[in-house]
Amino acid sequence: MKKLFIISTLTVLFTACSLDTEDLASLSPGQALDNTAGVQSAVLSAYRRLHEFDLYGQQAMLHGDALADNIEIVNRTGRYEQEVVNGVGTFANRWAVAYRAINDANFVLKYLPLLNINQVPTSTLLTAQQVLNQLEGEAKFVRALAYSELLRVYAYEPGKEVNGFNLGVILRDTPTETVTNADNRARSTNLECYQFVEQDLLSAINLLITPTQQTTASLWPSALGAITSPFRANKAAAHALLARVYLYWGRYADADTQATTALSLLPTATPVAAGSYAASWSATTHPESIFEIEIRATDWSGVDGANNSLSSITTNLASGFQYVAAGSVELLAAHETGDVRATVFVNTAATLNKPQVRKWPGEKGGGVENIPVLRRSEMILIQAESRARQNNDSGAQTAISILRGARGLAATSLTGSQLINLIMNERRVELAFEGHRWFDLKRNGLDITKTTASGVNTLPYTDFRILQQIPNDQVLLNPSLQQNPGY
Amino acid sequence: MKKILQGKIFLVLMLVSSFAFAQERRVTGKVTSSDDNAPLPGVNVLVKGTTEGTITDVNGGYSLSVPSGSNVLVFSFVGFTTQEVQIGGRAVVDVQLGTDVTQLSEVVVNGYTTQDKRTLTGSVSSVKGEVFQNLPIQSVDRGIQGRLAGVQIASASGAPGAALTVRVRGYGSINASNDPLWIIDGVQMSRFGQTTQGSSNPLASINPNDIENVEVLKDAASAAIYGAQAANGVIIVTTKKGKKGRTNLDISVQKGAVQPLNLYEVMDGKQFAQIKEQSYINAGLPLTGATGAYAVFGNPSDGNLTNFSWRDAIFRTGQLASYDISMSGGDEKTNFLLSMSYQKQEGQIVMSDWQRGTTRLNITHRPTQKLTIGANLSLAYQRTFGAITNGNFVNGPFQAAFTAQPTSTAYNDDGTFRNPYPASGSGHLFGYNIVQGVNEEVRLGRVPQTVSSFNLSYEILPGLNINGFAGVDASFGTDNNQRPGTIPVFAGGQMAVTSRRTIAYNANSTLTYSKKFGEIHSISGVMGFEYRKEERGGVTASQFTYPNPALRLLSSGATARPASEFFFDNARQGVFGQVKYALKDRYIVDATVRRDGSSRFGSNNRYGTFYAGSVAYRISEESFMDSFTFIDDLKFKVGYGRVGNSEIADYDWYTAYGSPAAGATGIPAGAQYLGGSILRLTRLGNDLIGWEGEDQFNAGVDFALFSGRITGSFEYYNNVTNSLLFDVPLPTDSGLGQVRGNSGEVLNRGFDIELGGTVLDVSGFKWRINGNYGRVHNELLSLPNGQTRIGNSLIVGQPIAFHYLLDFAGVNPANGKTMIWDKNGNLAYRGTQDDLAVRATALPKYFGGLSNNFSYKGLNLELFFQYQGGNKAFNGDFYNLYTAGSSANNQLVSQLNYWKQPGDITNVPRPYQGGVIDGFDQLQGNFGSTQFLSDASYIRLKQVTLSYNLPTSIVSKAKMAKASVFVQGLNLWTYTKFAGIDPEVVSNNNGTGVSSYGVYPVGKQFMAGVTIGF
Repeated sequence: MKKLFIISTLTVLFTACSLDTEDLASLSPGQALDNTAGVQSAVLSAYRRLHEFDLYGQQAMLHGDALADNIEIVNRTGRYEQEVVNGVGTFANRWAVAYRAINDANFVLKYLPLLNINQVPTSTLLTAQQVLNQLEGEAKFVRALAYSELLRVYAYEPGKEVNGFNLGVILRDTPTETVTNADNRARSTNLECYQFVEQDLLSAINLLITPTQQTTASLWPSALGAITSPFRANKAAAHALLARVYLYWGRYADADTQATTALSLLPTATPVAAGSYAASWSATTHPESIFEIEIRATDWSGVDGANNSLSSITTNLASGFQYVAAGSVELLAAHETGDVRATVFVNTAATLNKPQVRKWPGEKGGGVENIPVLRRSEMILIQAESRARQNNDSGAQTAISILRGARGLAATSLTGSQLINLIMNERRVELAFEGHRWFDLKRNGLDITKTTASGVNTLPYTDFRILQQIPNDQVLLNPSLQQNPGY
Repeated sequence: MKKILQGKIFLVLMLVSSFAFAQERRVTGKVTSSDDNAPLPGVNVLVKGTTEGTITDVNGGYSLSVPSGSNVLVFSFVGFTTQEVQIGGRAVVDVQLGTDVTQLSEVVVNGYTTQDKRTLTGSVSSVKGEVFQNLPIQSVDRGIQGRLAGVQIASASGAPGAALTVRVRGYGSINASNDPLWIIDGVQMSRFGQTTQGSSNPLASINPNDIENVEVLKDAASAAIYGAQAANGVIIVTTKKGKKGRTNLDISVQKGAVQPLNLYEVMDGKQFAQIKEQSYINAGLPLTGATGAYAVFGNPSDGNLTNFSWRDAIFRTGQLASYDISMSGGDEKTNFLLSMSYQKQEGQIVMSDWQRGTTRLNITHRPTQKLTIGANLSLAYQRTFGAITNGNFVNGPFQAAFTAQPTSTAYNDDGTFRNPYPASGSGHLFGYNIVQGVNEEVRLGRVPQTVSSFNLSYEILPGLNINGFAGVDASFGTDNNQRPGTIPVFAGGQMAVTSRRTIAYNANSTLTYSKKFGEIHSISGVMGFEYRKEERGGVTASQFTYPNPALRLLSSGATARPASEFFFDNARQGVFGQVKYALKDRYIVDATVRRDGSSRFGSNNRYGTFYAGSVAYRISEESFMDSFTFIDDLKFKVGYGRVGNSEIADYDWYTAYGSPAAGATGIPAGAQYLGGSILRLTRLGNDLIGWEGEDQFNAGVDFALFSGRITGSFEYYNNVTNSLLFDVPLPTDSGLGQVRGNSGEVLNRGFDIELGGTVLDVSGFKWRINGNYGRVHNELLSLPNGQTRIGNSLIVGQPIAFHYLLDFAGVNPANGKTMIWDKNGNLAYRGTQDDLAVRATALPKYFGGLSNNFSYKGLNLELFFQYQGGNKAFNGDFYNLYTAGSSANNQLVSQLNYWKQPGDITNVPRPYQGGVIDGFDQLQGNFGSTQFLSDASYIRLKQVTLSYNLPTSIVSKAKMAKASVFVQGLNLWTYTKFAGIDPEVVSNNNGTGVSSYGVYPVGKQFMAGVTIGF
């Protein structure tokens, strides 16, 4: 009897065994992306990357101002102090986050064509092919946006090279699914990269729905959720981004055309009126947005509002906010008398007697707010600048005067270099604290002017720091990856 | 025929007995223990050269017939030195037996079988539980620190109940775990901690006072029976069992205190205001005005300048108390041990503490001569109130207690907490008032845990047993992180609850065989099958926006937060066999093989085979050694084998596409965009990965000399880990950072020495020294794809953890800027990649311990030193505290020795707000320099225990069996050159000691207590 008991116990031990596991968290890419909702989730992942704090969530909106002459440090927490004095080795994380978004897009572009068209959800307004076109266009738009961000940080614009250094970034147009996909690659030339971005956007323009369609009720198949404008890319957004890319590239005629087309597709083509300007920055959705990244409170951990939000870095509106960066004296001085844009700077004892910008008030609470990436006023500035650079002064005057009128300023009749200087000043003022200033100087081959408060001298365009350092570990890992000069 | 035979036997017996009657004499006596004069029952008494013998009775008495011609009695008893006594003309022979300090008659438990330590061919070190009995420690790993040759143990945190880093013979793995396999009464423990609210230790559910013995299997010969998990060594913990005889009741009570060790000296208000003033002046920034130095940091010439010590408001002397009660006993069929304990220890930080209650029942029963069944049941409850550590966290007390500005108080005049901190409104530390934080933020982990097992053994034939075992390590923890709305940054309040379970069970069945053929051959062996499964899962939920800070249940929160869940599991199964043959107990051969499969690898590479072979030669048993009478035992041994490691994440072998896990880059729970769910590549798989293996060679000698007065061993090892389970880095432009692969080789070569000796043994005074020394050389032999380096973190020919830094050259006496030596040996203000080099190893090269035991009558004193060294540590805290006033943080007082004028020789640069002069970071923060690197070697008086056993005469009057009082202290004294708080806790970077940042140092502990037994 006892022997029987023992033997049966031991038998149980032998038989209850298996090496199977039950991973409840993941699928293979093929399984995850074999349906339209799965592919859309991959598109949404790429959008979600864009508002990480290393990208538009914070740094991409401030680095360009801090490195140049728009920002003065208020509270010295260590943040942006290196940027303001052009220390070596900023921008550490931009590289990786942009490529993660690119990889998301590459998955979409690989698996979307494999979907069974008969199983793609449709609506009364969109066919299955149109639904797929939109998703493909969005993937290309996000990929182009990520590449354009990498290019302006790590490469000279074509034609603006110093000592002929013409490398762009690494191009990848297929997803990394296996180890062999993650091969060591060399940087393509800046021209090849700009052409790649151009192709993505030209294709996206053909694929994406129009802003008008996007605002039509019941357009998007209900099974696929929301496609609310301007939080997902549309045809106008692709034109707008392409306008910016052409401007950096120095293709001014194309830039003008794209900016004009973008505006023409929008329900409203003009900037918000002067009387509504200040309020536009505390609106949940910026009224000028062509493309805006939506952020919800659930996207952040409990302390991100204080630790990382744009609102925390630029204001002391809530307890625990850091208020690191205020507008510089020089930025404020760049505003003409009567400019309503000066009213978004508050200078009181409560702001420590520094001009505190109120573009990022964190209006959704806890520092949360959406981030406009492409605005109508930028398109008008692109029209004006690209016309002026083609010596079309009257066209430029028309465009810039529309913007000036909406900012409480008189139309201009300046011409030539004076007109260009005025337009560049308009860009500085209009796009302050949106991350443009450094790149506007750089793409024109101009020296970087610095604030008095920074205590450092003008940075010549030929200085190696104009191009940021590619993360050192990547250069060590990948022998094909050439570091930027001087690092 | 049968009758005839019986008759013959009877005849023979008659002859023998009549012979005996004619010649014998009777000897009586009493056997006692030389330690405490207590009678020793059960001692074997044998007339030398005959089969005549007896066993002492319950009072230690014996009576025995001695044939004429025999004049020597042999007294032997387990645990005591065997003694031969000349009878002479005596009729009464009383004997005192001494404890067998050589311990060579010990039995070694390898988990599946037991072996006589004398015939052991592998490398095993052991510590008896009594060594750490009643120490104010919370887990057994702390108790064996420094006690075992070749086993390097250091605190990962000094918090009570916290984890330790245990490394057996170096670091064999780079990305897989280097933790040894812990086995408690046969239960293979889960490696995972149970709370994230403080440092947690999976071993802390076991009361160290319940432990009988700890053994470490250090080489393949001893550990290959655990095959797949043996590469990092195996530590076998055996808890106490009851003994046959009367029922003992033991009670122990102790109380004490814990104090912080060697905290940083930071500036007072005036000093701080002064260095800030200077840094603003030097940077050309205004002193006056709303953002001027005086408004933000105070004016040093202001007689009413605030001076508040944040450090003193946060650190404290904590109380600790410990209560133990145990009962044990047994009879012919059954023995049992029942124990309970409660321990409470307050942390060095206000509010933080650790409490544990344990209970244990170990029981063995033999229903028949052939069947033995047993169970070891333990249940523990730990409650940890933790502190935020191991990082540059502004809400971590080990950062902010030192960096918070002394020119602001933590309190308003009415005693409420100042909000926001600091008084200037500058938002320093994100406005977080750390004193309020440590007082009001609740970080609670509550973990019930059981480590329990059931076993049975049945004797099929003499020497042949079939055995079954099943055991489980299960914990079910709940973490509460309560951040009340009274702390402004947690506007409205943020409460989070995590419920977590870890269940690991293993079961095995074995056949064991052990037989001796005459006095010549002995054979023993085991074969068996084992299965282990581990499952971990949990849920985190949180809510924001609370109506009142006292309301803390999730149901009171108004803002729902996304919940998150995790689940992981893995399984392993294996078959194994071991056989050992000994010829005349002199020539010993041992062979082991094990084949293991793991769910962590793809189907083609699931199984691996591990093996070991070893031989030993006990030369002291040879007759030609008889003339060397001072040699008690001398053994040479050598072994070689291959063992494995599979301690990586559970599903690494396949590519995963899913929702980003909570905590992934930039993503809390509930990843979404525009209300839609997110899918992305979360892991790149590699279905070719398989076992990491380690080839281990061991050779050594064990000896005991002068009747056990000197004992020791010397062992050499050479271990090469290959097919490392490696995080092969990928270019991040691929969208991913790494993939798991099998590649690379790591060497660990070294030697372990154990030496013990009785220095003095005169008139009751005894002084014994036991020491050990381990030395290890760690070297990366190769990397994937023939690479010679990976980034700045791994370089072939170097140890696997080192400091790769610029060479700090001090401060330029001419202008006060920090300088480095560049690659050409020239001074430079800024280093580049090319100027970096390996400056020191981060891994200790040598380590060990030294104990001194003094005893005189009932008085015992132990002084125990523990040491390690040869490594350097990079003190990350200095990025905050050693910055010459360039940041808003308070600083070390030493920063006042900053560069003031041309010609000054100092290592502290010119104060300059922001710390960036002409684009050059004065801290060389881009790469780091040797400025913050220092020698982390230390020797520490780890333990002092003074105890007094009350004399039996007094104790027995109180109807007690024994009573003792003791005082003891831990970490009382340290010698080190380390520039930081604690050279022991410098390893928060993956346990490799690359750097430390905001770590929780160990504390000084003082205890006094009594133990009584009935």
